[in-house]
Amino acid sequence: MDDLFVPLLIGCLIALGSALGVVLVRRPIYSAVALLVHSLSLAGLFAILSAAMVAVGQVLIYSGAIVVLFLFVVTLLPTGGQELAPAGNRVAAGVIAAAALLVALGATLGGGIPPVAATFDLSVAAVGHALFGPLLVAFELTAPLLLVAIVGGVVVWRRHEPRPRISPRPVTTGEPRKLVLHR
Amino acid sequence: MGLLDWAWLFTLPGLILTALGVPRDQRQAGYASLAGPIVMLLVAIVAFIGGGQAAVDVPNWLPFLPDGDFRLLADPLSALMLAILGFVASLVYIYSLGYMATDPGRRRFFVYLDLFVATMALLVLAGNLAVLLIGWTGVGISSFLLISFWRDRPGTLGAGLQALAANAVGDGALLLAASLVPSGCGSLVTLNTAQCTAGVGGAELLALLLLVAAAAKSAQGPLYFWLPNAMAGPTPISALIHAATMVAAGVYVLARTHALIGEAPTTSLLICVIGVVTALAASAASLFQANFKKGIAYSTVAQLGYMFAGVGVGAPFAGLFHLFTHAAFKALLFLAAGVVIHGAGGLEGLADLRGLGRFFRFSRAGFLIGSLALIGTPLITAGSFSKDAIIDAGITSARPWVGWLLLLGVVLTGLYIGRLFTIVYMAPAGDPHAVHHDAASERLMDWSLVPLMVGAIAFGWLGSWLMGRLTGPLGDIEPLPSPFAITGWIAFILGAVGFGAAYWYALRQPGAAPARAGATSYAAAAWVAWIARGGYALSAGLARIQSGLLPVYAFGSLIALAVVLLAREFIR
Amino acid sequence: MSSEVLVLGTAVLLFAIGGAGALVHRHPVAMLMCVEIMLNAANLVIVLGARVRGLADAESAALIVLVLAAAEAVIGLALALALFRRRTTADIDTAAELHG
Repeated sequence: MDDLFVPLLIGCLIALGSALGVVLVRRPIYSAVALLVHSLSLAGLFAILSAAMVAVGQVLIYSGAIVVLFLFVVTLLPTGGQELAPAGNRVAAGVIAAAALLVALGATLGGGIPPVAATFDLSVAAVGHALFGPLLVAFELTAPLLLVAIVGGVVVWRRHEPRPRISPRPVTTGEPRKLVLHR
Repeated sequence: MGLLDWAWLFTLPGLILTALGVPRDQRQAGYASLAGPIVMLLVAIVAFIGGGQAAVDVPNWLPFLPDGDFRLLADPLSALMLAILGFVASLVYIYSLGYMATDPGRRRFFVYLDLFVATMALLVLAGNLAVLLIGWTGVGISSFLLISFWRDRPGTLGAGLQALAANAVGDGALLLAASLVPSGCGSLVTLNTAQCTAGVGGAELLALLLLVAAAAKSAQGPLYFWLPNAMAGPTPISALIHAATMVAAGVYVLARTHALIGEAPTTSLLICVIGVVTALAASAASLFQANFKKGIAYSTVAQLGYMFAGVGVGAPFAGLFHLFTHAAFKALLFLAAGVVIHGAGGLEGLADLRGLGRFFRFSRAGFLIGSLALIGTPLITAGSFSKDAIIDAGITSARPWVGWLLLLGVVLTGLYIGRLFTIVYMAPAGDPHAVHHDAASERLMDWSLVPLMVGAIAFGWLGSWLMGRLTGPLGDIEPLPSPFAITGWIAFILGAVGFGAAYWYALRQPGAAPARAGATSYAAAAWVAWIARGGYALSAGLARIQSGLLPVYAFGSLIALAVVLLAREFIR
Repeated sequence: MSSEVLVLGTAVLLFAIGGAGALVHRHPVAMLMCVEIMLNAANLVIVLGARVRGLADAESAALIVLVLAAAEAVIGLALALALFRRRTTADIDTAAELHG
């Protein structure tokens, strides 16, 4: 795959650059745009890696829906404009966490990775075979997962309506009790 | 003998029936459970006489433990223990039918009792550490449930939690021992083999862990604190669990693994020291108790110290023999005390009970027999046979100071039991209207005392018969001292002197019971409360990590992830 | 450096950058965006694995991860909106009521 090194390098650089953009800019709207660039660059990387189905899925689902959702929400929140600067120890914490993760992941993956297979079949048909074969259960479960996510989102967002009140009347003999519904 | 392996299931039908409410009438609740311990007693006696051995083994039942088989072992030693359990439990059940006659929680009481008997039987029948641990925690839980039985009364829940705390220490030690034992290390009795001691720490560590567990269960050493406060529970429970059976489990385990103790000289020295110190200190502490049951409870702690010392000097049979006789006379003492307490309407302070024992003649006779047995009256009571066995074993062992100190301790024994007997039963009679007599309950309670009286008198003569049967599980046993041996008579004289001195002192001083404030309080001792406060401070400090800030939690998660990944690399 | 190592290294770097960003940002949605970066990095590794092995089952797994990312984004954003709906500033440091 080394003949694809240059395109891969360009894709990786764009991905890294836009990720840094997401992290470093102060305005959340700009971060969302950087996230869009990031997800598109990843789609490009997937395409270079011959994973056509995932590449298209990344463009359609991720860039086309998820990042758009992020953009909407950023505009709906108060002060979507300017974000406050982080405290010094926050930045230090971020740097420490990043360094720790780099070290840990480097140690774990330091064993190297085998070279790519000479022949591969990552076509849509092959993906279909896999989704309806070994990964069938996971595939079928994504539907209820999305349903639960939608219902959960609605439930989290909904305010509770005030309940109709029943005011008690003193019971006097011979007079039927009336239910009064107040709002 | 094979049937004995399943003795731990004998009380479960009674448990289910009582829990489902089989005797419909609340006053009759508990009669369905009566059959369980009686059957257990009969089966155990038959098995003991028959002899032999029977084991049950389900391999790899708990796969996460190195030795996780489900192993049961029924041999003459377990038959003896189950006979003791069945004997005292049957009598306590009958007694409780009278004692708890008007108690609204009566059904719950018998369910808990059944649970206790089942788990205690499982503990006795355990063939390896894993099953022992199940029985061990089971009796701890039953003990907690029964100590804090009267939940509405202040202090009972705290007393139950103290018992649970001490038991937790013991359970932890036992769990650690169960994890350290190498796999393939079969039963408890072979713990001394080189295969089993090949783990970390060897024989010493294993023996030490077993000692910690036994000390927690038998209230020895610093872990004594829960037993006096366990008197917050009903008196039948004090008799069954905290005198005769559960607290004896520690001695039983040490006797069962006596071969391992023999391989661990440091630990056996520690057992001797703990036993002697506890015996003497608890005997002295009993003199200052203002609560009748607590006074007897400290006596239990002291007598358990005697048993521990017996095991520590390498005479496990002497310790077990004393366990056997102690079960009879200590249960007798407690149940007799319970008659008076029940008649006085639940009062337990010595100042309140002063002289009221005179109105319960049967109870007075029972308490007197129990007291004579406790101080070791030769020939006519059982306590002398077993106590002299321990003292004799101590004097003739490599650590004679054990024997001599225990011999001197008999003076304290006479003092404290004389004090209790005199104040409650011999002092000038109090107000007759302070007690109420419920004829039906008292009949049940009095008749349940009779077998214990017989036992307290006669069990000593069974010594040589028991010895013959138990040479299998316990190895070579030294012959018991003759009932006419001089040390036995010296011990009796010391005890009688103590008894007489207490009698004279208590009758002369009208307020001889130091009525300290809070005579019936079951709050934890100051040093226990101090440790608890330390625990609270520690948890409060740790709670400050929960700042509520999401980035802090995220940081923690990421660092933990990095640490786990790195650890995986380094362990590989 | 071979292409595989390049892509793997990029994924590791992206994961670390995302982690740092999640800690540094104070706006809740910005935090979530950094979490999405971490998710994408993992997805990149999965797809690389598919290419290395030559089989499509890992690629299908990557598709399912995409669906998971969608579900997670929905819930996270709904939570962020519900939490900050009535506050004056969208600052995660002000939402610290659940403390020990």
